[in-house]
Amino acid sequence: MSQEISRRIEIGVRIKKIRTDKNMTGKELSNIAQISQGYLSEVERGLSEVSGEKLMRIAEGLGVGVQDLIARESALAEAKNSLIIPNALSEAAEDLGLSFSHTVRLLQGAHSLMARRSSGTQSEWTKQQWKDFYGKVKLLLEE
Amino acid sequence: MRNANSRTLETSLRLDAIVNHLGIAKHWEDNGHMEVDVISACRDKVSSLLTKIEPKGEILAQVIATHFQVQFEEVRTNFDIDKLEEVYLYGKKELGFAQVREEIASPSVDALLFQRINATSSDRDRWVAILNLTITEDRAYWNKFHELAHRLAEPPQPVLPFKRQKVNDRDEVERLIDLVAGSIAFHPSLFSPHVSPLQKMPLSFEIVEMVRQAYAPTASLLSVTNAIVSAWPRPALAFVASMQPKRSGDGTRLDLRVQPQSRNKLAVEANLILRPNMRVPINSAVYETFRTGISSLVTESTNIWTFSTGGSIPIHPITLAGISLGERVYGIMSLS
Repeated sequence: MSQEISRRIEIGVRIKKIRTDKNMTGKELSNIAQISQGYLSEVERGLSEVSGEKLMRIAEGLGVGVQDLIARESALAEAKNSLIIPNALSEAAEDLGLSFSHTVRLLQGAHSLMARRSSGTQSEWTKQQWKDFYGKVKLLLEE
Repeated sequence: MRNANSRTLETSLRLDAIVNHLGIAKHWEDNGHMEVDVISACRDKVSSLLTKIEPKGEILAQVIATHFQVQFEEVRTNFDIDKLEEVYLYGKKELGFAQVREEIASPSVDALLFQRINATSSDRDRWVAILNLTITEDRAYWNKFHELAHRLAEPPQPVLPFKRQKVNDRDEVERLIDLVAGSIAFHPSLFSPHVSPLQKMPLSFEIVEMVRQAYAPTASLLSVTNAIVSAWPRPALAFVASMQPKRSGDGTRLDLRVQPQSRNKLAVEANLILRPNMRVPINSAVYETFRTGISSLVTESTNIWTFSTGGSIPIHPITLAGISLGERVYGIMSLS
């Protein structure tokens, strides 16, 4: 089986699993995603290639991100490519002797707070703040 | 919105990510157009969820949250934070939740939105919105929709070209998110049926309270007032008045002054307008409401709403409603 077909089947399986987990019928999803029910069925069985735009509409209809429908390895590679470690964290990691993977996990943990509604101001974390954060999660990181 | 040239790089990238995520055309030189498109695209994302639900705001929030995998968590006491840490930090190994205690301790923080690192694509709590209710419950309804608007408008973290930072509500993106939140929280297809039967009556706070109780009892009076003003079929605007100094003065003399809150399209067309920080006339019913605490619903002319520099706002016969809330008065002006 070619890599392309394998990828297509994997996407289709993911779409169907998320759809059924959410108790959505194929008709409901095809209506929301503005594609025909027959086409959705073909996509779910890996018989049809799906364009980026339609994949986005399907993801939106399912209430998930496009990266949830594509291979996890691709999504992780994309995330890795966009990784920027702030200077303050690099310095804190050096002082603390942290491994690269622990440093990345600290960064991911901090960034999992993606939005805060506040009337106050917020600035980039200092080296000390990164160290304090590490202190709070040290035991979990080392598990 | 600010001019596109004055944006920071991060704001531009976040706005860029939003329009890409929503699949809309960019209008960087026409912010108003972009806002309309973003709001419309977010409304479209929830429209299929509205067909079978009871027209109530709290139900709407829960339905959208469930569909988009957002779990609401309310924090009132330290015990609630202990529980969050137990479930998410120690239970699900979500390191980000180590920040919750310190964040919630800040009285300026209303809400936090986490995108869980260890969640699977089908977890119902893939995003966790934490509402800070330790001081007041007033903003809970609005903040739920604000966090949902983030979820609707912004792409998940891994596909952002530039990692998001924690932001405050003066940020341009947050203002856009607020517009989305307002349009979803009081979605016309659910909200209008509550307003339509009352449209022949004068616009009063009695109407506002009736609609609030029927549609979203947990919403603040001000947010419902603004929503009704927007939906009203005649020119209308809402304001809050409190004792404030003149902007150009020495700050020692306080007068009852206006902060405009909302104004519908018909009011814009009819030139019904209040200027920020203008004085409430002492012979206006709103001033009397502030003085006595007794709610008002009267007809008066805007010709008494004058400026210290001379002249008045455009003259109209108006229906004026006022209600006292502590040190402030809420007011609604509408044309018959």
